[in-house]
Amino acid sequence: MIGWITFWKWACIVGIGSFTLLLLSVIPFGAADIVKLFKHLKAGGDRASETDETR
Amino acid sequence: MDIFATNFTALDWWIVAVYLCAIGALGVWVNRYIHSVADYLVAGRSAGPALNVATFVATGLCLVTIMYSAIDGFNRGFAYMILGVIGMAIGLFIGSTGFVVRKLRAARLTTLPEYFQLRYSRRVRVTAGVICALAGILNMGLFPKMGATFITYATGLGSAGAARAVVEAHAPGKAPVTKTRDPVQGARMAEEHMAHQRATLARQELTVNIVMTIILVIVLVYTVTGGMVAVIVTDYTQFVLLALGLGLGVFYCLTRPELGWDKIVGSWGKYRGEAAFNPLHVGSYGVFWVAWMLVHFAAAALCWAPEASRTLTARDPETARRTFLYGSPGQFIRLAIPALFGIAAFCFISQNPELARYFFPEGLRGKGVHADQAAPLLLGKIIPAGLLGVVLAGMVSALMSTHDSYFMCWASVIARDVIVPLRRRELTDKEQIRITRIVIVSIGIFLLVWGVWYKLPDSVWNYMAVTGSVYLCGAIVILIGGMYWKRASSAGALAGLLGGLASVPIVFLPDWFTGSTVLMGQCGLANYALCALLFIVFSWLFPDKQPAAAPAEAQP
Repeated sequence: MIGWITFWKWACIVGIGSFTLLLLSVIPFGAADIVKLFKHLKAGGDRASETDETR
Repeated sequence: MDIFATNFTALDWWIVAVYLCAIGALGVWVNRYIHSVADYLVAGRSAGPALNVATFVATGLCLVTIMYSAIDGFNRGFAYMILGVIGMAIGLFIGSTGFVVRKLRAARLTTLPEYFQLRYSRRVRVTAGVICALAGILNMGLFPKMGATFITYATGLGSAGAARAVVEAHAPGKAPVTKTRDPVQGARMAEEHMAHQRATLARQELTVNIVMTIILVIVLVYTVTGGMVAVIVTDYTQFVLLALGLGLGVFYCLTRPELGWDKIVGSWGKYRGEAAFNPLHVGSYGVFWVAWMLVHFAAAALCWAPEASRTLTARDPETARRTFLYGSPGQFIRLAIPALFGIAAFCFISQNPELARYFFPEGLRGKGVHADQAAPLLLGKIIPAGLLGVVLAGMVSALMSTHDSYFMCWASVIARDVIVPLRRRELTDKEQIRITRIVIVSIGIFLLVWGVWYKLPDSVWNYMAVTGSVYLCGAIVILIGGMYWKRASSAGALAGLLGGLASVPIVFLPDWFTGSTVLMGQCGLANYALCALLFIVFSWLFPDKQPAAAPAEAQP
């Protein structure tokens, strides 16, 4: 039982620790990705409207 | 003292209300960026790795995940955390190898069943679409009820005279409210007491249903208008808030004087022994159940539409692979942290005789009841006012982020994989988007009518796993077989998919069966084996006349 208790303690430390690192990187980079996503979608929209006008 | 009272105040309600309005408005605002069906269904296939990871984790971390993990943590202790370890290990494996996900993304699909048409036939795609939607919507049916239960007990809506009466009724050798010697008057007083209790419970239920309706309507509004772009953007904000909420919960569980790691471990060791820590122990889940979960999690990561759709929304195959790699800690967190809340709730309750009587009428070594109320009640009691609003907003985020992803996935599967292939002519983008929106609203109405008033089974996780198996058992077999086995045929794929329906009757079996981890583990594994067997045998017996070409690996 002692072995399992130690295992769960380290699993929690590793899991929470790695998730914290993930958070610290995903929050700023995710915001940058949103800006890129909107730019990409806007560019796609502009291309679509240009095609409509050509037709 | 009212044992169901929590620290939730008007300030906390304001925090939640402002958050809900903001997220609804944000979803509607992004509608301006939708120009095509690809924008609507897979956000133009342009989500970057960080954004994809955030939405991947937010989709998997629903309030219902928090609830069933907390329930099993409360009932079984640390042993439940094995699911988090399995989820993380599978994420690391797929993320480091790109197994299946790279090929899927390279094929530029909108839904997974599309792959089945490219590899097998249109009939396989439609069959997969029908079974996928059936399993998914059945699986989703419990979400509103679980969410309602959490909100009720974390906010103190469960606090009422009825709750105290229930505690008194559970107290051994204590007759409720019959303090008179006249038997007729005593009976009348007992009857009035029961009527009052029923009315209070009905009021609570009504309040919960209204709250759930409001949340569902907000989710429907921004999902219908903004599509996958709205889902991704709101998932990102929900990921941030959700992480904050979980972090606060863990902090208070580990730092409160009556809790803390040593006390929590000590209470479980004292009352439950090794079974609380060792998932393979006879008194815990057992080998079969753990093996079933290993297979099931791998299948879900690759085929369960809401998760699989993150592969399809990724910018390129490399992003799809990295989403799994970087998201793997999230797989541990989404299952282990809510379980920790349930585990801590056991320790908290063991120190309060009144609560212990309510949750463990047979004593702390016996079977627990009302397990779904334990974790939310604990959080409501240990987190101070103000912060509790942030935590609840995080939990409501969890509810919404999964609802929106599920709405989008099942609706797009029904629209693109069932309705569109059955029509004789190609549909325009606008028609496809309109059909998808109609299906989303229909699913929302179904959830309101069926989900909110559905009686919860004893083992919510087993219910979720079995409903998922209806689709996953067949889908994973024909997906991997289609990619890595040249002889795989359409007849084999159809037989494999239909084999998954063997799980349907299990949903309707009584609690003594669905609550048994040994029986469920054996049945679960047997269904995967059955699907694989059917797939192989039928593929050998009925090979395709013209072998299907492998889906073109188009450039991203």
